Amino acid sequence: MQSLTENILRQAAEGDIAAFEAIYRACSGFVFNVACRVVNSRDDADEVTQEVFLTMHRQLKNFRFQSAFKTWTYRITINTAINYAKKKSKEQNRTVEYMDNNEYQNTIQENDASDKDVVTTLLAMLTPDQRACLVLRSIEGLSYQEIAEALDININTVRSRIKRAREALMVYRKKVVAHEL
Amino acid sequence: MNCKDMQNMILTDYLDGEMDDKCHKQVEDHLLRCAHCREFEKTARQDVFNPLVQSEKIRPPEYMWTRIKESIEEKENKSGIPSFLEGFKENVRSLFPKLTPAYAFPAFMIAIFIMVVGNIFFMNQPLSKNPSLVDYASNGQVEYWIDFNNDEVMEYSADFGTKIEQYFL
Repeated sequence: MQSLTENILRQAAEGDIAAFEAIYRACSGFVFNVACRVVNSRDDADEVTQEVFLTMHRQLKNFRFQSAFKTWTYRITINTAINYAKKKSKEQNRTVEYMDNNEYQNTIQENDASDKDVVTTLLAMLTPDQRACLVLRSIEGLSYQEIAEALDININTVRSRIKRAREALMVYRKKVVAHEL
Repeated sequence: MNCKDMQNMILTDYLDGEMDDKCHKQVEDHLLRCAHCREFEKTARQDVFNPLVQSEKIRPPEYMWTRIKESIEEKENKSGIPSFLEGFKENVRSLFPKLTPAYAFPAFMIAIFIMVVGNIFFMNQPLSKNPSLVDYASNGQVEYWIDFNNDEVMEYSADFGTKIEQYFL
């Protein structure tokens, strides 16, 4: 994420749309990529990205410049994405209850067949919380401390989520390899 | 440290480069000696770590900024509140961060409790325990009896200025 001057942030907070566009240009890459990976769908990522920037625009007036703008952006992005992913996952669980089991299996197979991105398939095996930690660390390169601050959790919780996520992925890969053989 | 501890460290701090030099060397030494952990580290790196680290960054579509800009403008037009008043509204709201529906029921119950306890306490309070009330009540009674026996006062006080009253009084 590119750095921004305090002047641009103040202008955007006062309602200057050009200054806010500069913020968008600097952060949109990070926001969209994280959204895409955490919600694991491009269409949903569109919605999350829009929501993140609308929240930033609304909350920028309350930004006190005491914490880093980067951390603030990480926090809004990851919380919006996790909440969206959890909501979506609940909706899907409810749909599965109403769908016939065979019908659901067919849907999964169709999705798997159409999805050629390994990363998307791997991330789909994880919970939104695990996904968030792994995406921030492995894809965005944030340190454990930065992830802990963004998610407002203990650094050891970050460690444990990353460990469980990678263990789950290793088990999944083992199953895939065994199935292929 | 046993192999399980080593593998936990490999899956987190070791792969992510978050280890200090001393711990890093410990893990490296263990990997040189233990074929099982070496295999574990190789699999973890290949199957789980590398695909994510090497994944391509997904860029937002071109239309995204236009959509966001339109949403901002739409919201500003809808609210119709000038930005300085919007800021004032936000500040007032931030003064009462706990006013959420979750607190409404407990607040209501506390209010009812205070009213009931207050009512019981004051209703059971004997008049003699409150000298000022006794004085006030007895002074009132004395004044009433004086007025009652004073014809002039009674006449004056009982005159409502209607013909029927004048006839009876």
